[in-house]
Amino acid sequence: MPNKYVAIVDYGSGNLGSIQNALRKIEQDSIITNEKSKIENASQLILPGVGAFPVAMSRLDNLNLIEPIIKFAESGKTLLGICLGMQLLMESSSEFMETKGLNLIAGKVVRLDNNQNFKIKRRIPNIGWYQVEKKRTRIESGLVVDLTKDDYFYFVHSYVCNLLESDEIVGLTQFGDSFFCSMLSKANILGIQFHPEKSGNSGLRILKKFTEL
Amino acid sequence: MSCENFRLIARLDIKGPNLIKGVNLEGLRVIGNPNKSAVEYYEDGIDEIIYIDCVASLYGRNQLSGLLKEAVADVFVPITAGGGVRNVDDARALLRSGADKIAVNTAAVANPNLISELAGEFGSQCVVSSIQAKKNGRGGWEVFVENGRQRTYKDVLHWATECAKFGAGEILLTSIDKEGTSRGFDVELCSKISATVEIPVIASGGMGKVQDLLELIKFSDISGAAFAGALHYKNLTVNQIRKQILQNGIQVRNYA
Repeated sequence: MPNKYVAIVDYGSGNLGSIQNALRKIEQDSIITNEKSKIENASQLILPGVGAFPVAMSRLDNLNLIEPIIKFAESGKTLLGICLGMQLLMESSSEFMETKGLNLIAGKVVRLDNNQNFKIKRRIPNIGWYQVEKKRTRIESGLVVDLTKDDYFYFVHSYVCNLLESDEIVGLTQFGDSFFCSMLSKANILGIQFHPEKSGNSGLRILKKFTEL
Repeated sequence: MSCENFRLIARLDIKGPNLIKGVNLEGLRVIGNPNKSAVEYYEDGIDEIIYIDCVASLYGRNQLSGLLKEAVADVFVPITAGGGVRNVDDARALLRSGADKIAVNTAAVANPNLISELAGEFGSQCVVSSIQAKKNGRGGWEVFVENGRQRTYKDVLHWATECAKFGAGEILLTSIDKEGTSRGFDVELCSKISATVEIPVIASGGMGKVQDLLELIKFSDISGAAFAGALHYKNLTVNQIRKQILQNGIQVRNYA
């Protein structure tokens, strides 16, 4: 096992190999694990996830992973939640039923707003390649420093994070007539709604930024 | 017309280790190595790639896993895999091999609950209902399975609604009549289905030139299009398609 590695939390959700492949491409050592000690000793942690919020939380709980993840976040080392992994960082989600999250970021996970009165109607799930607009906040996030208008990222989701502290929103993406938080940052805790591991070179660059934090 | 960023998708039909192509889903011809094509299309800016094992359903086996494992080392866009997926375990094996989404057809028609089972296990965003549609001569379309070999007497419009209800995240709609002909998409079919369901619909079958795509986008609310022969036979490149539809004012991902 390498001394310095990114641990990808394995709780039986989604295609973890994709994230590891992307990290391999940018020459970053990583392991896929659900062992407490390996999570604790990682230099950085990725919380991945696709699928439904309640299922993911109960799997994390059954594997006794909730506490190690929260401890990791408290240690000051960087934790990155991707897609559902980002949503799990929040207080709670209304997907299927009200379910508590990891409560590391203030706010709730809600269904994408597809208001009938919108001028621009959109389909749900929201699937496809979209831009991320950097949001000016007091908190500087290294993740978004060199984002440009030419960067497009692959999204696939029906729910979004509704943050309580707007300062923690570092990237915004348009959906219909409104915008949702596509990147969040609170000190060492980061979240990305899109899939950087599936977003070509733009995504690989974001992951590279993350490993350099 | 759609307000989403239109998705350009390469479809790779697989038989054993080979990339193949047919006409009307028949008369399969070997093109070459699928992963070589996948990497080429990825580097040229394709938005997604679909791998369909064309004979898996017929022989009840799946050789895609090996191919996918190799592809995902170099391809960093979403991959959909399908062909012969009968249950949650088949789907899991493909996801573990690197697929992001699973396409189901034959087994889902036989047992629509498979769609809900897959959606429950992996999430709706992971489940693509692959529908093979053929004109029924009475102004509608009939669902076919077994890669276009077997009729079902089911109505496509009705089945598409069912798929969405059972929890599919999107529909891959293949026109058997147009497939492999390079004579344009079945615009009427795509228009009807995309107006009927609220989940994204991807059109497949018939792409010959960029004009076909523009026609499709103009007259239907389709979310993306999958094409095979146009790319495999090098009539068009991904970059050419993207540039030309951009020039025609279609919203699409920028790719430098």
